[in-house]
This record gives sequence, structure tokens and C-alpha cells, in this order.
Amino acid sequence: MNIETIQLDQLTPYQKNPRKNPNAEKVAASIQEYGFQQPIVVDKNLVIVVGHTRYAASKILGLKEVPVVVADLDEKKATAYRIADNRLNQDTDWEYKFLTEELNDLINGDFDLSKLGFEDAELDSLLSIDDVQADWFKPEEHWNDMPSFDHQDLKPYRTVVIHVRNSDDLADLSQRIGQDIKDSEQEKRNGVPVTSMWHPVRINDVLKDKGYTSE
Amino acid sequence: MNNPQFPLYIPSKGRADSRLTAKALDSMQVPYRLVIEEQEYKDYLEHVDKDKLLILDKKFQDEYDTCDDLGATRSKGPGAARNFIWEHAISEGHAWHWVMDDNIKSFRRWRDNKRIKCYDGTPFKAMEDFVLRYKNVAMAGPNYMFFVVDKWAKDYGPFTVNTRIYSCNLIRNDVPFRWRGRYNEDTDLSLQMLKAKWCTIQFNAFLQEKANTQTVKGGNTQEFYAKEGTAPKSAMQMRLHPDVSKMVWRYGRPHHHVNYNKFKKENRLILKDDYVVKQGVNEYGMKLKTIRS
Repeated sequence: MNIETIQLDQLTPYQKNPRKNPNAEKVAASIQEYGFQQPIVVDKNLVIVVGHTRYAASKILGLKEVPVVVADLDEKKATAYRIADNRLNQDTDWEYKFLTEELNDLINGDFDLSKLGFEDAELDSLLSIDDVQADWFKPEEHWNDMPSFDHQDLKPYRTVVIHVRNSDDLADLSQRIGQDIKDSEQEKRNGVPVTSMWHPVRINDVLKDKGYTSE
Repeated sequence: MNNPQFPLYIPSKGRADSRLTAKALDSMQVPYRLVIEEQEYKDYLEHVDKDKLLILDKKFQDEYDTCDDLGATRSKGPGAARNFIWEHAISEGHAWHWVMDDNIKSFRRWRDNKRIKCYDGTPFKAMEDFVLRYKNVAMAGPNYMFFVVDKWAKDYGPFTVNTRIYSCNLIRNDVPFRWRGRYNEDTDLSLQMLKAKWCTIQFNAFLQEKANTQTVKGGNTQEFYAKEGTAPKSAMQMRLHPDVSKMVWRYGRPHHHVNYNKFKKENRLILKDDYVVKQGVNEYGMKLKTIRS
């Protein structure tokens, strides 16, 4: 992966970017705190493929130049990658046990949690001590004459943690398992991007075009 | 179509344009009223029918207990408007009321490991029906969508009890508590209720999708968190609830943890004497349909 430094005003946002970017201010705060850890991906004409939020954040911060990867993708592949990148991000969920542990580690390490981009109520809840289930409390016994609350058991059989030393090893791993491995923007541990994935690939259908209504 | 039986209120400040919660409720055809400050009336009137606007009585701001000595030198937060709402609901003869933050993007049902948008008032109706079974529930509301994880869904119940209820609160009107404090009002009100042996119910079967605070301009709390950080908030939490709060200081920066476990063990849900719960499932007529936007 060849990372170049390019003037911000040379980049062009993709006009039909299908993903809204409401988190530009948060990403700006993140870049300010941690630096620019993930380059913007552009096509040969310097039109942004992925990284619109980082681009908007760079403008907020008044950056003159940014790290960029020029992707060797034709127009169709760039469009597909743009959608897939955003779509795969939608499927990410937090591992809350890890998240809470990490937050407590950060507190112990003199870190201001307000810089993480969580809402106040979210942080309060994550740091609450709320881990007891009383003997008397059996919610399923109370939940009669109410809408069904059925879920599948989607817990993993096992979680395997694999560390890679560099981008070449990452590409090799990606090829071996036949999956694109994306460096997640939102999830990092000790500053290292974490990618969570399933083998084999499991797409979580979010049913965005569906909704509940009553007659 | 199901609609809530109790009134919905949204205190709103500086968000005449965005009005996320109001728009979400419009899409569900659920009636509501926005509670605004007088000086913003014209701004809101440009976007909202006047029948949906209530002007906050300044008396509630003047008399609001901020739980500190800073008076009107800085924003008092949303508590005064929420107390106005509480009294307004009582004056209209309601036994309960809903009060919601003005940055909720959608309301969802969580089922089959998916968080699906709801397009009518059924979630509110179902949540109301559920809490009305019990004689000792003081407050309830949907969990944040952010806090449930689809792959672990089997580990969650449809609701949990005796924890903090935030951002979308169904409140029983005849309980002797009121909003107070410049910060952390949701935690404080929940703890006032829990310490008096009332129960709270947080639903996982129904969820609220909050917008990120920093991405929506306006609001009551944004200005002082931006300027002051979280230190005054943690200090207030310790002052009001030292018995269930733990403060951790690191290099002059405080963080607080609230322990709800005592209430989870001790405050039991009690069914109303004459209430018989029917067995089985009641979908309230809800069906999953394709929505054309």
C-alpha cells in the first residue's frame, strides 16, 4: 500500500456518496488527538472513494495536506467498494466487555473520556455498575401478552485473535481466507485498528427498507 | 393503529430546524407537543403547527433547583422544562406523561437480532400497557439502540429493571419527585425513585436511536459540557448520591461510577392486585412491511 501526501484542495468528494457523514466533528477531534492514522482512498482522478468523513474532518481542522492512497480501481469497482465499505461498517458492533474494560483502563491512564466521541449518557451507562441479576427477576415470565422477543443464537463458537505486523501480512491473510479485511475506523485497541469478522462471511441483513406498522 | 394514551412532550431549545424527535414522531403519526422558550417561538412557528407548541413558563426556570450555587450564571439544563411538562400533564388530568430529548432519530423494535424502525405509535402503547400492570413502577423507557448487540441478543431480556432511564422517559405523575440539578438529571431522578423503593423499567424490546449529541446543534446541555468538561457533573453526582457513586480521581480529573446493583436485588416488581396477565404473545397488530420512503 503506497501512501502519498496530497493537498486537501486537490481531492474531490464523490458527488453521489451514498453515506451521510454526521461524525465529521468527532473524527476531527480524533485526528487532533491521535493524528491521521488512516489514509483517504481516492481514484486516479483524486475523487474520494472512501474517507469522506476524514475529508470533512480535515477541512474542519484546516489541514492543508492529508495522507492518501490512490486505488487502482475502475469506476464500477470504486462504486462497489464505496458502498461495501460503508455497508460493512454498519455491521460492526462493540464487544461491550472489552469496551468497558478499555474505558476503565483509560480512566486509570489519565485519559479524558470526553474525547472518545461517546455521548454523556452512553459513558455514564458504560461506567455504571449494573451487573447483578437478582434471583427474583425473570423477565420472560413477565413478558406475557406482549410482542414477541425472539432472537437467534448468533454467538460465535470461538473468537480467534490474529495479529499482523504490517500491511503485506494483512494482505496475505486477506488472500488466504478470501475476505477483504478492513481497518475499522471506530474500533481501536491501544491505538491499533481492530477488525472483527466472521468465517465464513456472515452478512447481517439490516432490513433498512422494512418497518413495523400495525393495522 | 395504536397510539399512546399518555401525552408526549419534547423540550427543545435552538433546534427549530432539526427537530429530530418531532420528525420521528411525525413519521409515526404520533401526537406530541414541543416545549420551547418564548424567545424562540417565532423560529419554531416557521416549522411547526402552533397547536404543537407550548411556551415554557419562566417560573419553572426561576424556581429550578440546580443543586449548586451558580444560579443563573450558566445554563440550567433541561430540568426546568421537564418540570413544567410534568405539571402540565397533571393539569390535563393525565396519570403519566412521556418526555423525550429532541435528538432521537427513530424508535425501533428489537426482534430476530434486528433493530427495525417502527412507523406507528405501537411501541409507546405497548410500553405503557406493560408498566400499568405494576403498582410500583415510577419511570420507564426504551434502551439506547447503541447499547444492544445483535449477536448477543439471546443474553438480553425484553426489559431490565432498576437502572437509569434516560432520554425518553415515561413518568408516573403522582410520585413525589421532580427533576433537579444542572447536570445528570436522568441519573438523579432515577436514583431518587429507586432509593424510595420504586422500580424503573428499561425496555430492550423497544429502542431509541439517538443522534450523536455533538452532531446536532442546540440543546440544553451542549454548551456547558463543551466548556466545562465533565468535572462539575461528577462532583454533583457525588454530592447528591455519595452512597451509590464512586469517584475516581486521576490527575485532577474526576470520573464517576454509579452502582445500581442494590436496587436490582431489593426493588421487586409488584403486580397490581386485580391484574391478571394473559399468557402468550400479543403483537398489537404489528407487522413487518416494506416501507417506501
